[in-house]
Amino acid sequence: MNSKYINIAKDFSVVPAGRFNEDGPFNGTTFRQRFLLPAFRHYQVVQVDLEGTEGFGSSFLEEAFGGLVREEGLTSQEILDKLTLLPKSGSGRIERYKRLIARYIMEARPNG
Amino acid sequence: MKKTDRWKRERLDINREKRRVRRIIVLKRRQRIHTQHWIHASSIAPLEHCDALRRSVHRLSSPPTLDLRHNYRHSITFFQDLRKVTQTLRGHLYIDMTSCCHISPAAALLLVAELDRWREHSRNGRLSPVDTENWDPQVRRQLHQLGFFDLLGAKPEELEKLNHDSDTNVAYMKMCRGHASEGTAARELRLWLESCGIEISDTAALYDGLVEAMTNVEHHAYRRGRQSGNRKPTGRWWMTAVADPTANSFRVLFLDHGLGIPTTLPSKGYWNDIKGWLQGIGIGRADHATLIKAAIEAKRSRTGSSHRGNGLKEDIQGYIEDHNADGRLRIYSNYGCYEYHKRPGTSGKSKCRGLPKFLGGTFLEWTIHETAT
Repeated sequence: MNSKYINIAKDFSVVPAGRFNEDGPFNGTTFRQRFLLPAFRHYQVVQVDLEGTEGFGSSFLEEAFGGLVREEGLTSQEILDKLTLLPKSGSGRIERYKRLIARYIMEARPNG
Repeated sequence: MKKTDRWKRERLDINREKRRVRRIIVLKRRQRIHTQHWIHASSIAPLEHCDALRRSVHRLSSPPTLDLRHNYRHSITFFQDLRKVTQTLRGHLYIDMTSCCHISPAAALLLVAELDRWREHSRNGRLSPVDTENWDPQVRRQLHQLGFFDLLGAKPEELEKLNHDSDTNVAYMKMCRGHASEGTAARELRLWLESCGIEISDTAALYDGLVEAMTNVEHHAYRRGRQSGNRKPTGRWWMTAVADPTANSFRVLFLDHGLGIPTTLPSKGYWNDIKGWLQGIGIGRADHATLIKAAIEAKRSRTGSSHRGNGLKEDIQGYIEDHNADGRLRIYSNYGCYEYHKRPGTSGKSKCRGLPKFLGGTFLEWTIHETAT
């Protein structure tokens, strides 16, 4: 089973922030389109490492992960089946981000 | 009727004349409004002789106490007057700060932001500090640390001759400004607090709250292309922090000059959820303070724009909620103030109240006492 490992801090930015392109260079839309979408289209397992960044605003996480359902037409189940969030046992903050990501994926509805 | 060439020419002349008269009427109306504003602004800042400048200038004096908590009405009146006179009066304006003997960090940020806005809109983009040796030393030190004199373009040698020594350990971060979700600015604020000796127990939560506040400015604060009381949009936020290492406590202050939460809320996709929440607590027509509370506490349904507008609750208030320390969040927006306070090991309590004067934007203040960790 082919897998893709994405470390947000190393591959994208240590200061991810914002939802859309006008919010700044390291926004959720850019991360989704450059990293998440190709990974979900071409790999069976997508590992996303959340460690090493300054943090994540909820707008960034919602747009990056919820946007996969809303904007890109993937199903919540498909994303949750493929997605692994790392580190496995992180700090309280990392666990909070994992819960938020799962919630945003579950709550997102396709546009139109 | 046959439309002859002569008839067409006459119609053109009539329409042209109508447009000309309309232009004159609009111009006269504008002139009348400008004159009214000018008379009002001149009464706020009368023309007086200034010894420091050795000529007559419009003088606006600061109240002795600039503080949003203890002298809100007079402080906001001063900032409103400052905006009125800077937008209306041409020529030199002298802001007399010699009468000010106390300025709170929040009021200092409002003052610096107001002058920054003035500098940006003024023709030559330059303000000058005068008479600073007669200012209260504590006020001068505080404003100096906030970057007030840098903003005014004071020369380093002018600053050096002023005494900036302090008898307290409280430090003020140089104000920074931006117009997007600038994660780097949030990171620098965290690094500055740590360089002051503050041990922040949850740096990521602080970062999340700050970048979400910035994102809100970009998405909501300056929407619809109009701002409160000015024609040129600034689209800006201003941010600073105050650190007290001896108490291991700090404050982060964040300001925008946008439309304010209560004004922008009805245009949101989740407005029906807000209305439902208000009806649920028996409020038909809410004041600004209740609208801020609703923006934070009302749950979003899974329809419409349910994915938007969660940052206030999850990150901005979430920083205090998730933090095992004594923390307080204050939000001032237009005519409303919302406050959320949480002590370690207890659930947080919120309260809201109306404000007697219009703030014209949104001001956020997080106060954290890390001693409990």
